[in-house]
Amino acid sequence: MVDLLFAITVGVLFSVGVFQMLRRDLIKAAMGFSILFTAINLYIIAVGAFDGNVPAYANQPEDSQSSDPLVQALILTAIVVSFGSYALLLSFVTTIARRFETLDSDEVNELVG
Amino acid sequence: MDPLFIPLLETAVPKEFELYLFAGFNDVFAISVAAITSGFLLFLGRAQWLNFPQLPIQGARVFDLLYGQLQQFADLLLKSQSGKLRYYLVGILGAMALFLAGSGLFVDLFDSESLIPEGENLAAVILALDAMLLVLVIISAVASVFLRQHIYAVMALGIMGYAVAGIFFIEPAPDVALVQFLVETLATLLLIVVISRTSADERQKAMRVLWKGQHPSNMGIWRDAAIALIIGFSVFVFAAVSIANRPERATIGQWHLDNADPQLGIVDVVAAILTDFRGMDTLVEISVFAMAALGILALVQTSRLSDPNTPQDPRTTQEIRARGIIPLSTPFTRVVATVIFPVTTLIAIVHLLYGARAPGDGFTAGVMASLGVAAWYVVFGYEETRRRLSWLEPRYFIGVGMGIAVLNALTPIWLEGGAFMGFLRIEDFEPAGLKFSTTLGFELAIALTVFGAATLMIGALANPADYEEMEIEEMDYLDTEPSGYEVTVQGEVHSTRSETPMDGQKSEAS
Repeated sequence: MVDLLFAITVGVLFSVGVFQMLRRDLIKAAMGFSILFTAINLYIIAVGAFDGNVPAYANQPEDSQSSDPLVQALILTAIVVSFGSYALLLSFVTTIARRFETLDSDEVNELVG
Repeated sequence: MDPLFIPLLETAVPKEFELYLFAGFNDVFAISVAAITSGFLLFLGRAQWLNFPQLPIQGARVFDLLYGQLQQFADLLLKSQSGKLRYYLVGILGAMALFLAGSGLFVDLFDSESLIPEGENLAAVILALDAMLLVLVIISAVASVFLRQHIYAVMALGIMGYAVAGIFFIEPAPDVALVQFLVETLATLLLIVVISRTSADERQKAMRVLWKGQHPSNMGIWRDAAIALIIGFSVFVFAAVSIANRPERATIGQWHLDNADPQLGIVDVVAAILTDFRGMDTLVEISVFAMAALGILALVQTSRLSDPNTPQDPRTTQEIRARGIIPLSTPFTRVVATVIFPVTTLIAIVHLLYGARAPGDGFTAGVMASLGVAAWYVVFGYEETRRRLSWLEPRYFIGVGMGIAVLNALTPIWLEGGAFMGFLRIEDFEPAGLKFSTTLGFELAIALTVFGAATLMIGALANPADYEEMEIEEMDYLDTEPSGYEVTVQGEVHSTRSETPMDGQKSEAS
């Protein structure tokens, strides 16, 4: 049951993220990226190999089941890299806001033919 | 589709059921007919009962009475407000104490029942928490679309990130939860900095056209919604398939669990994977992070150089400066910020040293320390922070960190021995549970790089748009800028000085 809810959440987050990304407001579009990153991390943790009841540490009692350490390491890397690119994206937004004095992406149209 | 959805839906819909358009003459049908008929009759005879003689109890009078009571109660509530902070605290904490006392907690304690849920009970609690957090994630993500103030949308996004961190914590994945909490805080802070850097006018203008397309028919919204729905649904199907068909226990994950302690002496398996088993990935990861920070620095600096195509900025220096971060500089926040910096640094050092045994590692150490610096930028403002933390030159941190990391990666290749990062270990020397190995060096390298990169990002984004005048006047603490940057900047400054009398006075004074 909670598996289904995980899948629904990932789907909804993707919808919301894509919708935000298509907005004219650049800050809202940047927020869309952040939602997509989060959705992917949530997805990775949901597809871990086993449902643990204790953290993935080596000195756990015999009868307990550790959570999958591999997906956690993957997510850690993903969080860091996505934060780096998110920060870069935000600096693009500030730069555009400074150069074109607008946050409306429709007004940034120097490529118009 | 059937093999996918039927097992998933079976748990949610236990029994078979049938639907009919008309199910025959039964009680439900009779009640419906009676309700509709009596309503119709009442309507037909309205001339009779509308002019009915006045009843002793009238609806309007009852309403007036209740309304008056409500107002009196509201007055009472208002009068009960003392306005004193500690009374409100007494109210809140007192209610909490009453709740705890009335919850039967102490009775359970005396009955020597375990307060910690176990077995099936625990599984139910975890399931409920998971479901609640997932719903919270959905609600806050949707809220961030519809909220019309940027700052509220940022808050909604922050709630989403924290809820996701809570899900990680329940998994249980404490390392990931810790990083998610820290990164979410930093990301929210960064977004607030970006919002405070853009003018309120521009933000309002962008908000006004947020739901409008080029064409007045506004079909664009529906097109976007359709695209988003199709993509979201595809991802949902993909996620559902892969969650329903997860690999069995005998995976590489189990190998890592079995080998982390014997091979590396690292108890925290996630940290072992990050720093040793998959150390090269982490090396690339911090390189990407540092690269992103340097990219931001380059972007913000070059955008400050005047572009010949854009017209000269007609605003005065004061107006431009108003776009910068407004320092939240009150005595209270100043004390808090001053105190918080050594505290975060201390926590960072603990994370670093005990990375192998507890949640937290080099990355959380770096982010933790940079949060302290971020608090300084928010409270003291850009200029004062740079003056007071003049030793803080983020580029050197990144350089030294990356240097150690690469050295740590290359040395075992030359030596041809041992595991990747932890190729040297000091055995039988564990003061206060500390273990010394070259992995610690790698953790230190990660921490330095991340600290440098994160402070660089915050600093670059917190730097007010046209701050050059200030930098020229106090050049003594800013001496390592590239020369091309200075020259152009000085050119700009001369033009601004001749325009605004404020700056003229300032340069005379200095």
